[in-house]
Amino acid sequence: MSVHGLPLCGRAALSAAWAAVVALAATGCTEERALSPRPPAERTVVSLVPSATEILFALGAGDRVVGRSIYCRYPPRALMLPAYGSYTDVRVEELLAVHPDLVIFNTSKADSYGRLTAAGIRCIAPPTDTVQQVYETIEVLGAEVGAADRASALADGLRERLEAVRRRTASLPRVRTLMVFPSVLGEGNQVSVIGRGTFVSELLDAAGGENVVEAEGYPRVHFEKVSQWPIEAILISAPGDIAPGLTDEQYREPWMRWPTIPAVASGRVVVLREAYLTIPGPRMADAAELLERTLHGEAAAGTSTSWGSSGKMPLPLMGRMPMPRYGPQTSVCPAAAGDAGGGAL
Amino acid sequence: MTLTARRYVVVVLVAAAAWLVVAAAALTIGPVNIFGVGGAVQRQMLDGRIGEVVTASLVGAALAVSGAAFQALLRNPLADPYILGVSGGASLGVILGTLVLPPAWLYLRLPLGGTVSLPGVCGFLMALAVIAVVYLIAQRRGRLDPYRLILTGVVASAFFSAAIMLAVALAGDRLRNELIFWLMGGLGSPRDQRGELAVAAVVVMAGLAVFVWQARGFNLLAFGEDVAASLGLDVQRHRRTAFVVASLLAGISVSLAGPIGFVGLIVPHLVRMAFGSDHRLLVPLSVFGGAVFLTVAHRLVLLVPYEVGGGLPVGIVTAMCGVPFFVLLLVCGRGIRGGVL
Repeated sequence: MSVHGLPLCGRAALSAAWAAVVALAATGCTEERALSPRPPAERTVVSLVPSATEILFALGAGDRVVGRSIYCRYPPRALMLPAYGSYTDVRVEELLAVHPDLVIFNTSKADSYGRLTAAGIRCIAPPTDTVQQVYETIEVLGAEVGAADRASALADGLRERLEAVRRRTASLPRVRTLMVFPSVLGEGNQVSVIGRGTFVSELLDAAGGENVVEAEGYPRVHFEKVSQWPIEAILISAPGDIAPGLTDEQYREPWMRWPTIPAVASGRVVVLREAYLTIPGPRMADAAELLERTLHGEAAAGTSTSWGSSGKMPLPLMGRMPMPRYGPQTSVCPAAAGDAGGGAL
Repeated sequence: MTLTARRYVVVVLVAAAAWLVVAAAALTIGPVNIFGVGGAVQRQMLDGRIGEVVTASLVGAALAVSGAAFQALLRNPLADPYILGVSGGASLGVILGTLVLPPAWLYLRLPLGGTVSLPGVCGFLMALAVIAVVYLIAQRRGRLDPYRLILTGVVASAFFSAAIMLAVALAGDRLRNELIFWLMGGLGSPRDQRGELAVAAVVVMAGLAVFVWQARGFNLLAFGEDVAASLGLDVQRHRRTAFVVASLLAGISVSLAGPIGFVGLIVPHLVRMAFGSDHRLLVPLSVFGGAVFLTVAHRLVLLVPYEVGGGLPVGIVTAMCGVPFFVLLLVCGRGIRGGVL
């Protein structure tokens, strides 16, 4: 709008009117803000972290989750929600328009975190790098959405199940295990491994495994180096929902070139298709039980390895298994499936 | 400058011997001391290392000689194998192949043993398509003008880098990380690459042979188009061949190992600084120089322990080691003479 050419008094009148509009808008805003800190049990939430989304649904607050990230795919109901970006790439303007009471981030360092906070939207980024932090995050989120009791129950339940796994495997021999993320494109001769200090490594520990990786985090290691480790089992985490997936056989192929690795020689190279294996949320007890089953077989009954040391995979392992997507599948490792859920590896 | 047959043969043979020595030494250097392991493991490791060294040598040679050719063809010292968008096209082909192909098709087992990565094949086909398109746009009535060529190439390059960014942005979380690493360049493969490497080797050797044969033409072109023509060079034909073959070499190296930067720019310059700009020497020396440079750079990467960030893409090292060396030569040495133009 141009005010050039208007008589002076006209301009004054205009600016006065503009001031009034601004003032009105401002009071409108403050009124809305005043309403904003709703009681926790009514807060609406946008969760940009898959584990937090799962926790919220598990706490019965799924109805108040009004948005997710593109990575949040569980529970299936979450898929119906609008996605507001990835971890760091967040559609700030749309979120401002929706104006949820709480936004959960993966990291508080995201640029969008600061912008939303500045706009008066509460943002949190609870850490989930260790199992203990997952329990704490469950409690934190419970308090945020007014479901503290359910949160305590959920955390206690998980703690109990993990403890049970730990008890069952305590007397069993530890299986020296390497967990890897497979490469689809060339990473050269490198492989991304799951190191210590990660929650998956903790789950592995509970499930009677011993992580052969000494380093922290998720380092990339050359196959030559890996071939020197005393690995008794190799677990390849290849969620079916991450495109493009290869067949089990293709994921295993790079390992078949290193027959001197004990795990390869004895055929204990397993492709795990469960996405929840690496999601630090309410399904981590499922993940621990899955690892336990994979490493020790059902109830550690000592069922003999089904394919010995010939280095040959049994037939059910060769083909491409159906990709379990979401949901609490219990038996996913191909051997377990073929063995009526009881294949010790 | 006089280049006697004797000098030519001696210099090329010495370069070839140097490459052989480096390649042999490279087989003994790696993340693990290969002499400290048992026989069976040793054989597996050696197998993997031969694959890595062969890939590094092929890619390094292809990039260096392709860079030398582009610098002469475009009469631009800053030209490199990636300048005309061929590498962008090849990269996009590999990425799209990975995203679009059904998983079971990503690696095809060859009847004779080994596997072929179909995304790599897509990359190479895409490089061919880009060569055709760039040529069609850049030529006028069959004449290839360096300035039109470079403009077309830069535009194509810009387009493909945008398309790659789009593909990377749309790729899933985990795949995106891999794509980014791949775009920084990696060498070697955990899969049995022998089939792929054999095919690539044939193409690269053929390309190198063409340039050895064309070297005299490049020398003439350095005097300018008219002089070259008056001395009996079919300038247009020479340019067409050089453009297509140099692009093919760039395409195949990207398909094999991703876009590894800097080798194609710096190796020809280093050779020029040391041995002058006679293309009869420049071409074969770039071949061996590129092979040695990339092999050494890759071995250096492998020596980084994984606990402190191993698994770096070799492209980082080629640039980080290459630049200071280049500057040193520029400051202390004879500098870049007008060898390009």
